[in-house]
Amino acid sequence: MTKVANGDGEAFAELVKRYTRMLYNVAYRYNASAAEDLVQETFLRAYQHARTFSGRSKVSSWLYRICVNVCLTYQSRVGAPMTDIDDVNEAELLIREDERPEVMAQRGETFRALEDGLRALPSQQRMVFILRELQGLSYGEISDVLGMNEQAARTNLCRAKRRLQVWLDPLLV
Amino acid sequence: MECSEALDLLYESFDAQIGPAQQSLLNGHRRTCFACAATLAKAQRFQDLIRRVPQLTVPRGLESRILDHVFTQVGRASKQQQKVVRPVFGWRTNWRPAFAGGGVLAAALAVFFIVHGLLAQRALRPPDQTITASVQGSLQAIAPDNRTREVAEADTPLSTGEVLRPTGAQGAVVAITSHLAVALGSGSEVQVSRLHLNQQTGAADAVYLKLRRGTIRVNEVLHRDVSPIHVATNQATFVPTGTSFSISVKPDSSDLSVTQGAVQVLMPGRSFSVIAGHHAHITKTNIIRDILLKPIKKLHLK
Repeated sequence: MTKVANGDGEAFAELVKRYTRMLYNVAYRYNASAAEDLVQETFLRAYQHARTFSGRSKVSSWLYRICVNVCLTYQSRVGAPMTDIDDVNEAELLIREDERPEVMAQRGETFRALEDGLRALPSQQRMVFILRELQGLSYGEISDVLGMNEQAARTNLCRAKRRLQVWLDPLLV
Repeated sequence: MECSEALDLLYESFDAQIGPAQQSLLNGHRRTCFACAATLAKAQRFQDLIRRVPQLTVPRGLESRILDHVFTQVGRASKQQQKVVRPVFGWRTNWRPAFAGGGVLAAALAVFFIVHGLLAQRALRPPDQTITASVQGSLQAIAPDNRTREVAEADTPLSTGEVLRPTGAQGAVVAITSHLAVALGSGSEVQVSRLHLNQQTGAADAVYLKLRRGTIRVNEVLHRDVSPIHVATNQATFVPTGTSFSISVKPDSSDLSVTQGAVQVLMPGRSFSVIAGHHAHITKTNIIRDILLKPIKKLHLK
């Protein structure tokens, strides 16, 4: 990171090579349509603020933190209302035939159903779920990345799982 | 113990976050409460599902696009800083920071040299944004400076910013690579909004087209799971995932028809796929609801 802070292009390219996939997975699960832009913005900020990396945390945690901030800022700036699973009424679910989990299951689209459910979660719950369940971060790391205490992270995860389990219920037979 | 507590405990047990006493409570509840047995069983299946979620692969060329983006942004910031400074100090004061030991110009120059160093070390430069395409039929290619050239049944350079208009009644086909061709319908107009080349192979690894008018059909044979082409209208961006599809645009709506494979539609706050044999109608307002409520229809192509 010291080399990156000093403008070493090779070091920065190595950083990009090593962490693009990790960040792309977070950004895509958070917002598929903007994933590439979110990752680019994350690396831009990392490059611009490389000097602020103190070395107290892992590079990956530092990048996760930037990525999370970029994602949350993007969401608040775009202001696109995300559909809340709890707000979708039964009639609407019936009309959305092509996107219902059981239809997706028949087409072998289990994971896509999960992604759809994930995108309908509130931002914090979605991010905790992504970091813990899909990226495998410890609660300590999540606490560091999201700036919330570990108990809050656990609570958010439980809520996220409850909602997702309800959403995916037809698949879980 | 309440059933809802049991579910939370079960989630935490998957995480190895509960102690022996809580585990014992949970086990007792599972043995005796038939009401939530199904829910807890589903929670287990749900956890199994989560564990099987695959890590995504990175889209082709993303790493080099990141480097280009960072370089461009940092370079732009450097130029802006220099623009602010130069009218105040003049050319002679370029030396002043070395003696004054600081100041805004020093910062600007520092950024400039960092960028310059980056360029020298990585040979980073804006990508060559011209490719050679093969045209069947005839079309007009209009460059950003309004220079126009006619192309008929020939290879032609294709650059960022160019606008393509078919001139024949049958439209024109533009083969961008050996596995990617775009058929421009008669009366259509497409702008090449962005091209990105793989610096190793020289082949296009990202093609962004803006469909301004009419209809285009894209035929693409993919060798990987991520598409190099994005077609944007005012309403959405369309990304094929190994497919043939057509898009028509009107001032207030876009229509997508997929004949092979599937196309991912990216919109603010949402994305979804349209699979072969289906049609999607997308309007500018209340976009998601309009799409989702519209019955999916079989596409009948002539």
